[in-house]
Amino acid sequence: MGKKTTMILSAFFVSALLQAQQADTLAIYQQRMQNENADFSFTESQLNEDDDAGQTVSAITGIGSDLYLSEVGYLFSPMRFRQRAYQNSNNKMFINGIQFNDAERGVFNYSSIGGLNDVTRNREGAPFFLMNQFGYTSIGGSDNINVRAGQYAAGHKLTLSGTNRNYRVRGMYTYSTGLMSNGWAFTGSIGYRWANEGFVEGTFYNSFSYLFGFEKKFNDRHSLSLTTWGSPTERAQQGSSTEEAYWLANDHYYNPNWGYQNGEKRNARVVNAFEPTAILTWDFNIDERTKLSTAFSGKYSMYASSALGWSGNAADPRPDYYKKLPSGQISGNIFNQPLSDADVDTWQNAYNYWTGSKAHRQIDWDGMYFANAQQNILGGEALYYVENRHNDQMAFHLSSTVKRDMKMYGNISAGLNFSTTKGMHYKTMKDLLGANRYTDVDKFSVRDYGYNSSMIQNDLDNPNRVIGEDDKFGYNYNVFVNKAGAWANYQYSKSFYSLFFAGRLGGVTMEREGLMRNGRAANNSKGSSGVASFMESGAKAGATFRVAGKHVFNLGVGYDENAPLSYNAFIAPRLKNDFASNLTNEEVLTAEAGYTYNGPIFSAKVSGYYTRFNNVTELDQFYNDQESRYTYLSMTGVEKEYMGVEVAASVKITSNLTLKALGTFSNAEYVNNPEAHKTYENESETKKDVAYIDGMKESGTPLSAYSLGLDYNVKGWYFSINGNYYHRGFIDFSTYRRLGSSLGISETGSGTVGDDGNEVSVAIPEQEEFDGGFMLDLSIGKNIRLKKGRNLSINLTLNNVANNTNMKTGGYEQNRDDNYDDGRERPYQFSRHSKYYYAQGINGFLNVGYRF
Amino acid sequence: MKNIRLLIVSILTAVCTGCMDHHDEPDVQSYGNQGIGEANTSIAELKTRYADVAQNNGAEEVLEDLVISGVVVGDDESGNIYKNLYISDETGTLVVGINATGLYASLPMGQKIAINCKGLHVGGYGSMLQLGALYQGKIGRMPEYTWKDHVKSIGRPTLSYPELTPMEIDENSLGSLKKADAPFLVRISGASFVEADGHTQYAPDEEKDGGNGVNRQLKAGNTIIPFRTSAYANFSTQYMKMGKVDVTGLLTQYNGEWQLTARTLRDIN
Repeated sequence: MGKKTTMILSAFFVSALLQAQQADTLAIYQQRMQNENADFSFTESQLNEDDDAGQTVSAITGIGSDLYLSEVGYLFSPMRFRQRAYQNSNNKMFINGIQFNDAERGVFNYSSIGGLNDVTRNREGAPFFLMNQFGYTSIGGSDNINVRAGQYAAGHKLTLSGTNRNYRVRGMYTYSTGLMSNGWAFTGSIGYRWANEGFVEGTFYNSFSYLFGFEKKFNDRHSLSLTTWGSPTERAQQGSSTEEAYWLANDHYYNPNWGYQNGEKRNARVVNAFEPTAILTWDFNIDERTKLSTAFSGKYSMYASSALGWSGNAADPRPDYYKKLPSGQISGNIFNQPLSDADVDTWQNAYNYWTGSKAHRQIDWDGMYFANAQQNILGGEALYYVENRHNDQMAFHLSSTVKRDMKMYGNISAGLNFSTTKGMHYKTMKDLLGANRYTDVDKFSVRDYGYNSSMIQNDLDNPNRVIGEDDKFGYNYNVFVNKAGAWANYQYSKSFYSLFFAGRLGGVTMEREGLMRNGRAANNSKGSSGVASFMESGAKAGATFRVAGKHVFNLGVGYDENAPLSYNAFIAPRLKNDFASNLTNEEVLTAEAGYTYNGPIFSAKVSGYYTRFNNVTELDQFYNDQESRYTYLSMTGVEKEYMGVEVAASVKITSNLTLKALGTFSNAEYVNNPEAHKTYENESETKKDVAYIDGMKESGTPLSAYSLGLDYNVKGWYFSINGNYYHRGFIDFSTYRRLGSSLGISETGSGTVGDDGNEVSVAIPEQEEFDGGFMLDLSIGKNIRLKKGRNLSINLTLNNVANNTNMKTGGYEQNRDDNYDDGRERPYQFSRHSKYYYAQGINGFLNVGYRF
Repeated sequence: MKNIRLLIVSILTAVCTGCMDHHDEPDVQSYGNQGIGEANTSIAELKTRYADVAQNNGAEEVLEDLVISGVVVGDDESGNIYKNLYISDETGTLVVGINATGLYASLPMGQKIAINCKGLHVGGYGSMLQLGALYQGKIGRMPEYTWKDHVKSIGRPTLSYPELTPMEIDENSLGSLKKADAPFLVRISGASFVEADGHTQYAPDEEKDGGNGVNRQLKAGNTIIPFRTSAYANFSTQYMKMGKVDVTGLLTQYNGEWQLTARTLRDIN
């Protein structure tokens, strides 16, 4: 047990798994089983790269021994739980020591390693206040994946999986030579994931993945490895909808994104992504105690997400557009019964229509083709089309890390890193749906300024440009981000205590380059925005005290200044070059304290944390239904607070039966009313405003979650049962609805003070809290050792066994308020028609792995 | 090594060409309910039959199998006509109210259609006959799905139908038109906009009335005809054309007053 304690505290470079293996083979098996599923959950079921749903995973997976961290991410993944509710940009993923989070949005693209589970499993995970060998970790923790060919065990592995989640089948095959006597090592892995239709109707999944690596060990001091991977993926997406639509469709997984074309299902929102990446790594053992690792990587990411477009005065083709719903067709308010007889009739008819046939509540592709064909005959252009929104990226990284064991003087790791990223953002015409052409003008500006105005031009240097399929249109710009940094981690350990210090310094530059002169910003859309530069820094310190071998106390405090993300740095990036005003470093202060008890029967961990963000810059961009135009909301000076308690305990009831409990209660909210800047895509002007969001909570994750579970193993069989309760999930609030201008608070007013200087009482819309809910998860597994070192493992995981289909994992408010411009109440109350996502009902994952 | 390289290349080519988002283009030839039969009633007959209902701003359900056919002569392409279509046969023009936008996508100007009026309502809106649905005891617009069930397209659109040729009128012939027969597709040549001064727009947002439109004055000879434009029309913020203009549009009546509505900016020359 003493051995185990040391491991918790230091998590040295030596694989935690190896040490644990001797102590507890069950733990190993359990870990592997979780990885199999956890990787699955994280990379597939939880990660929806759709902008609507956001990336929704936040968990470090390479932590083998921390009672809380090792379980929490996996256990709560069905509810898209984010540890401490931090944004995903606060989790950093490293590969061979290179920081791989995307420089523009700050998040790691998990789908870039999708289907490569068997070769991305070797990870070193480190929370913020723990010594590690690869970098200055972020507050949400970090993982470093090792993809050097030489570290894979020699042999073949075949994995076959069946599931009823986003995909149906998965096959993976990996072959590794291990380090051969000639100093060479090779590894190769290919995978394929497929679903003709996933659990959500109208979705499909088609993904191939590969990883190939070579390593040459020249001598005891030098080795060189080259690894390349990618995962070309095509998948159709799920959309969210309102309670009314779900009720009418009698299905919480109703998907408005698809419709029938020629009698076959077609999804309008299809993602095509491929991110080929390569890393060259040079390992240099300078002496017995000093190691230098230098890695250079390049990646070219191609990401396109399609969506329906419509021009002129053509009607909104989305099947759940509010005017097509029963409550959107009546003249009264559905929440204000009784309705007039006429409304009851209208409602009933619309209800009958919606429920009468599945085609009536899905996209009418045939109708759109017909409309375009009509225009072809009359010499007109496309009224309906499918556009692709591209976010491509080319990035190069260079990183060098030195590790030195200074024996009695402690351990140090330090490094330098440089990166350059070019983000390319543009739209292309994916499908004209039978039409001949399309003219690249902004239809919303046409309404406001007429066809003759230069304001309507998306590309003023090529006015009224006629485009065809695959042509770029709408917007086209690049964002350049360059980064350089230096960091160091230091740990000093004695038997009763250890101290940890880390620091970093860095610089970031960012620049937008417009490739189109936009008619709404003729003088500041084309060419360079100029370069904005930021200095970054960070420092943290941690201390751990061990008392009587069983009691461990730890404390940590850290402060960081981070450059804003370039994604948030421009007030209307598709339109113009302007940076957000008052753009400064974001400040992050975090502190935590914990206590761990390690007994032979009982062990437990309790910790508490507090994190405060100041000067945060955030950008919201959305199609604004209220104004019928694309809208950007840039907020600066945002302040947020995160705090909570995390508890985990484990009791060994018998040698093969363990009871586990785990839980967190947290809060994560905005604590001020920041300045906001509102820009409409069809206008050149940006208006200053105030966002009244004080007290609004982080969304997309339950803020509290609890789990109770039993693990049992006998004769190579492994069983586990977990009951999880989630609550305090909140809706993603609309900033737009809480702007001073939307609430009727004067622009000049400070706080809620009106024009006349008196306090005015304005009701800030409350944020919806979702109902809590319970989920029961089961798993069973068996590991069979065969002759000649062969091994077969089978496991089955069943999630949400009680089939609770009423749990909201997330949702967002519509960006539209309940009153007309003149103050009259709308019959359709947008505040009561938010859009939601529900957790999947009973679902299973069967995995068979054969190692030979 | 060679084998490995071969493997990589062959896998990449095999997979990258596969694509699940491919669909055959549908060949849709028609819109609506193709079960609707031949026309058995002219628009003029329909108007005569329900003249009293129109006059009294009443509403009545059509109980017989009355099928009319005509060519779309006014659609909502510019947004100036809103949730209405104007249909003409050789005997007259009828306005149809449909509670949907973007109607011109399926049924643009020049599309011939047949409408089965049975089960729909007719009634007077500002004393002008409209085909639609009952709404709070009066004539209103029918839901789109009702429309789809009562209409069928005939052939594909063409601008060569004689119904699309407007009736040339001047101040004299205007006087001889019967309001009870409205609407008409007309052209007035050599007229002028009274408000046109180079900086007055057709229908700026600030001037819109309760019906979201702006009335301007079109002067033909010595007669002033109200010229109505919606603030939501895509030419609402254009400056009014100065000097002599030839204006095509739908001449309607609203409670005994003439009103002229251009379909698109192309109607003002």
